[in-house]
Amino acid sequence: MKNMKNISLVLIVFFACVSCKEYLDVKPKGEVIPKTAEEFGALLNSHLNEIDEGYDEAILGNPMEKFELECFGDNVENSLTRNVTGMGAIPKYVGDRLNSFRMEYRGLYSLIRNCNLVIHEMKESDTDLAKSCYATAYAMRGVAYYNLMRLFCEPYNKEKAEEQLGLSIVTRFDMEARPKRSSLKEVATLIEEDFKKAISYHSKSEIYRYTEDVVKAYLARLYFWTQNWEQAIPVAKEILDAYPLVEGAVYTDMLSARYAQQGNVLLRSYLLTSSSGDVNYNSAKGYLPVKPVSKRFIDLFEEKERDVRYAFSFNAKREALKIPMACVRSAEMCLILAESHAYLNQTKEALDYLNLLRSKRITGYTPYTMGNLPAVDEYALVRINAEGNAFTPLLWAIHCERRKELFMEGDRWFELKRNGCPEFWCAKDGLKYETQQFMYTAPIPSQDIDLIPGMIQNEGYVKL
Amino acid sequence: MKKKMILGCLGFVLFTFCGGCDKPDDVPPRVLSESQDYILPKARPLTLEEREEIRLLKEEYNNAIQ
Repeated sequence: MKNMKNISLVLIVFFACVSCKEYLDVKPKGEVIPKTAEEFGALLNSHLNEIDEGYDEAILGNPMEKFELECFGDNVENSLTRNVTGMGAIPKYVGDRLNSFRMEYRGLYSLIRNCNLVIHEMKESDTDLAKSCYATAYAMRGVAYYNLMRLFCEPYNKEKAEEQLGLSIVTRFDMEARPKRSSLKEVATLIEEDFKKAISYHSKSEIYRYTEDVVKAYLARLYFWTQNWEQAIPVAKEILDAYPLVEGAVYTDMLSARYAQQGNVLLRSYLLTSSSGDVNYNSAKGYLPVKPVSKRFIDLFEEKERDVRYAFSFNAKREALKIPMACVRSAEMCLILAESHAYLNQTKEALDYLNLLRSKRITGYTPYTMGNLPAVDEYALVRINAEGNAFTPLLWAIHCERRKELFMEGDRWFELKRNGCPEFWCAKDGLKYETQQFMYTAPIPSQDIDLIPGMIQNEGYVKL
Repeated sequence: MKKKMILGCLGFVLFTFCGGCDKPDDVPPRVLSESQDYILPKARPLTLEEREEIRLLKEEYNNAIQ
């Protein structure tokens, strides 16, 4: 009987010790571990470091990411790609990357989560550091949604934006939340609010990178993408006035600088040396000769050597020379101004900004007037403008100027998307690879489709 | 009587051990998909016209860079 008691006691103690050892092993709910602004700032610093060291893939990008974007478009001749060792690293066309855009999706939502933590959980608010943290968190959350919108949503159509599919909007840290996709209009409104909130802090902190001016440039980009021409103009003008265009050697030095932000660049990646950043830079540089620059792109340079971009962008063997760069700079603001005025039929202002850019790039240039604009290329890939109409000579000239100016900066693919999503193809090893219209919009990753009831996938995507 | 009580206690402990803590990890359910990828249009062999187009493209390119 005593044995029985002892055995029972031992068993009870045994079970008490070994059972349910994980019954408290739950994620801490309603509790955020960082307390001070410095600790919350660390959540953002990891993302900022990725940008500074040139290995960020999704927020601002890096040279290799920009080169890949260039491979999706028509500035390089994918059908003439040379076979070299390690070719698997660069895509033939966008189809090679569509399924792996889920990495960007995950990375950007991780950034959004960290921004949400800073915005809603940080109690400190009066110190300069706290204000910088708030400004950066709002700015980076806006940038994250802006990038997601351009990658995972259809091109913005202001007439249908309330019916177009947007993104899952997450503005608070909540592990239980399963938000379905909102409308594209709601996403654009959120981004605008975030940028305006960030601007309201008037951040000048270079350490946090997303200063007031940088965010204004992004706001101009947002208005431009969402065809809000009236509002794009004053914001872009403010930035262009503050960061005037440069020319000649200052211009080429600005775009060649490896670890420096020069000229009128407001924000760029790869300011610090790092092994990952160096790999991206050297890979992008090394792959440039593999994809010849397309003849149609070269033919845009009517002034040839008189245009500083001609010799800077490619050589006689049609090898690209301009090393891909992830940046925000004021020439883009000038082009936004020209195009926005053109859509508003303010032709004089549109021509003024177009000519301003050309005057800084072309020696002895002839100013464009409505009478001497080049004709629209009727054989060009792009036939429909951002509003779904045929190009006018003025809009066409701005479109071509943008293509030349922002070569190797990751712009062309999104320009094709914004202007009608034209279909085209390239050849490799006797096979034809088609970029179809639906492929301009990346698929929402299947994990989110499976996890969130009612989550709608973009058109054209069926699971393997 | 005592023996019954002890056995009862033992049974209760065993029941609690077996029945309790069925969800030790209170995290969202893990969703497993067979594949995370989506089907993309298959590459198809070039037609004769397309081959000719590529040949002309290469020819133009080779002439231009000489």
